[in-house]
Amino acid sequence: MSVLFVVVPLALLASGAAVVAFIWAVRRGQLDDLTTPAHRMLEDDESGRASTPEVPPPA
Amino acid sequence: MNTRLVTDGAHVAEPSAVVCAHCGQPGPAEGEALPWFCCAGCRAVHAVLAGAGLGEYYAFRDRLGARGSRGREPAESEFSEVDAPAFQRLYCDSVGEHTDRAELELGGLTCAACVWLVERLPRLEPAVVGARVDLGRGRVAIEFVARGPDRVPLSRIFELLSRLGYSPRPARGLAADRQRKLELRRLLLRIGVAAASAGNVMLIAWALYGGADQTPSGADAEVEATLRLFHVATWLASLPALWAAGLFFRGALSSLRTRAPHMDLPIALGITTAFVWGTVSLWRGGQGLYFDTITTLIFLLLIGRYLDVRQRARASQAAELLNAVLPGQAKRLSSLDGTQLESVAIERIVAGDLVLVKSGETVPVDGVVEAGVSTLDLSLMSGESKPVSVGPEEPVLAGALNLGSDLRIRVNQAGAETRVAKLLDAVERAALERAPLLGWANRLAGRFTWVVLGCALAVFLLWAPGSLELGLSHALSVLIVACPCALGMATPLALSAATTQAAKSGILVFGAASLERLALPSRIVLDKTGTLTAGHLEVARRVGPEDLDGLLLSLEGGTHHPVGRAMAGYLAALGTQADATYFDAREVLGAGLRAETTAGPVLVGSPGFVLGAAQPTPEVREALSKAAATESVVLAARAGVASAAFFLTDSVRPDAAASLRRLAELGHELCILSGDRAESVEHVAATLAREAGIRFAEVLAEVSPEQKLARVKDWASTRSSVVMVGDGVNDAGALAAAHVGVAVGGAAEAARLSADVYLGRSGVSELTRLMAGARRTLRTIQRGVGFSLGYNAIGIGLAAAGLLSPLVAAILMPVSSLTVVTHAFRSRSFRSALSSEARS
Repeated sequence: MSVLFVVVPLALLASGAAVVAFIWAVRRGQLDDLTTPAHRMLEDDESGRASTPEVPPPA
Repeated sequence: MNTRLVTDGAHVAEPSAVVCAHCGQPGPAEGEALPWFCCAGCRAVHAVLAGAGLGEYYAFRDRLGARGSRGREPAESEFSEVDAPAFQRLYCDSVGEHTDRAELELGGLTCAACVWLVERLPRLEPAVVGARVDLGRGRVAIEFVARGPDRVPLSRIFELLSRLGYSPRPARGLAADRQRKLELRRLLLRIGVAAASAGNVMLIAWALYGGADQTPSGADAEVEATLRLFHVATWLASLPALWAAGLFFRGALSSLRTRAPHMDLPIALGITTAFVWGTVSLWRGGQGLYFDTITTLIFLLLIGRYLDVRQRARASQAAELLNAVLPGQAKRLSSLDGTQLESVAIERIVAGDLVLVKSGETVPVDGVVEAGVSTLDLSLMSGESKPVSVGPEEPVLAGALNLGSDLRIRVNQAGAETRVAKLLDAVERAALERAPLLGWANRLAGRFTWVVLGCALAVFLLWAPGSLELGLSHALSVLIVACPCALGMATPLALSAATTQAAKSGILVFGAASLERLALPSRIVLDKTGTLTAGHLEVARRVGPEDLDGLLLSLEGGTHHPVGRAMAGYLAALGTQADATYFDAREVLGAGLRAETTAGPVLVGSPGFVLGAAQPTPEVREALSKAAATESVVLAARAGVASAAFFLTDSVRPDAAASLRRLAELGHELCILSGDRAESVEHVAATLAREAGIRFAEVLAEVSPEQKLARVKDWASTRSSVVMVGDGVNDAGALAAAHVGVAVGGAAEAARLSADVYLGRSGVSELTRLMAGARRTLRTIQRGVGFSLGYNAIGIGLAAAGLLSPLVAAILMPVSSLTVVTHAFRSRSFRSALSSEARS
């Protein structure tokens, strides 16, 4: 059972990392618009990423 | 199978008919060369898209069943003001060495195909680096090269978007918008943190539920240590959730300060007690750690709060955008002979200036016609469905659309002094005056708060003399089990689920609370133009031979005048072959058209104009004498004989009568409040009352926008629910003053923005759907609240008797919330409205 003493803190650290990633995504405005991306995925696209780079949010 | 292609309710075209390859407008006749275009604008867009290899837009759009908006050639230097340094400072942010970023409002964004097309702007204009559409708010963020050798003026991008059929405008109210966006982001951050916290605590807590907690103490040092690890881990993992719950503590503090009961109070008290108690237990190595309860509670409550804030953010955007009605600039003539023409911002126009309003443009100022004769469409302002002729010395109002030829107007009032600006000002004030609508569930929750606090205190006092620990534990059970979180979530969740369903079926609800109001038996105030009737003229009947039809089609096909368009549409639908064997065609403004043919002059237009130069046939004379006052008459004559007459009316929508009957059955009271002429309003009211077998409570015609506002305000102050339905700028004030304003499809922008609900499709049947859906939503809310109240009553009873341990209460609490959530999202308030419609 002593492995738990390593694994449980590790699990907490891992979820801490996930929270940090989430904070980063929110700060970058990736979750501001929840409607358009649902439509964007309907496009059968050849060059979508190249032609529509992410426009960064206002500073 | 319904094989007919129904476009926007008014046009019914056979699929075999030629339609415009860009915008889908029905064409004049069969046998045109394909692809056919309705106008030069559409032809240009089609060519631009094909040239850039974006032709698949059409296939994509057709798959979605959407229609394009008409392409438009922008006027010379129409957007030149956006290149001014002052404008750029205001609206553009520098994002790179050479690139700027601008946010634009984009009118005409409707579906995924629009997103696809606009985001491919870089393919059409290489200097555009990227374009990102926000469909929900109708905005696009464009990054473009603004400096260096490859720079492109912003006006070029505006022109390009305009050519594609969208109407770009700089986004106003950016500061307030950013503020709201940040508020939502902060809330989202809290939700994410609380979710991670709750998830991790639950993960560990499940092991404890599974029996780890029941291990007899002192059994084994290793087991003891592991248990300790679990406890400490849940404590650690719950700390971030406490940060996330900060807003509840703030709310509770301000609730204490203002002595107003608020749901934040028991929530904050519960969280604090549970956390302190849990920490003390942890310290003493004991049981009853409530960290799982606390974190789940915080997470679920934050979700409810987020949904609430998001909905209110949408509603408050309205007032800022009202300026969109008037053009941003005017063409000023600086010398009397009109040779010096300059485009200036509307703010710089002063009384006494002379401005030029070209055909197809909106009049930007109030003033008097100095030179020119034309027809104006005032339907936006006054609701009058027939175009009005104006000539020299006659007054014109800002907001009118010039349908005929160019006008020179001497400015009397500009900017904030114009009548339309004052009207929009009244709209904003009315929107502010409207008392915040507090749902009965919220009031109930407020009172419930005191009950819960009282119960917890009573339970504590009851048990504390025996054992302080037991007293605290039982009081905590009460606080946890009675946590009004299911109660608090029942309303926002049901409303949110209903608005989402409604949006999917074409009804946009901005203030979710208005759904509650719509569920009450209401006084429904209808505007005539565009709501009950189609809002544009149609040929209802004709008399006389058809020998002139080909010539008429060809002549009328070129005009922008609504009567001309109605005539051309009617003749084209008959399958008439266009006949262009005339010459020297002239438009006599405000009267009709005149052309020469080998068989003599052809005249078409108003009876006054045609009969001035022609004698009617007996058949036409008789038809004229029987014409109703509500009809517009067009006569056609050749070589002095007026042989054909056409009668045009603004026809009642086919679905109106049945829908009105349904509304009356639901217990609503119906009124008509129209700016249109009395005889035409009364005719429509009488027709509908007869067909639907209903009675209108009041029918008022020739009402000015100001009177509309006053009347609706008056009604709203004495009745519990007044619903205003309208589509013009003239309705905007009344829409904002009513308890619930409903704008119908194709409504003017100002009407749309001051309304709480926007019906995507035009017609009253959508209104019926809205009212029925609102009823169902209210029932969902009532069931949810009833369930959570019942649950709480039983829970509090058990907890007070000491029969409910905090652990069981903690498990029951999320279960009750979950039931309410599931119930809210499973109820089909609006989808079922659609299917019941389809069945009937």
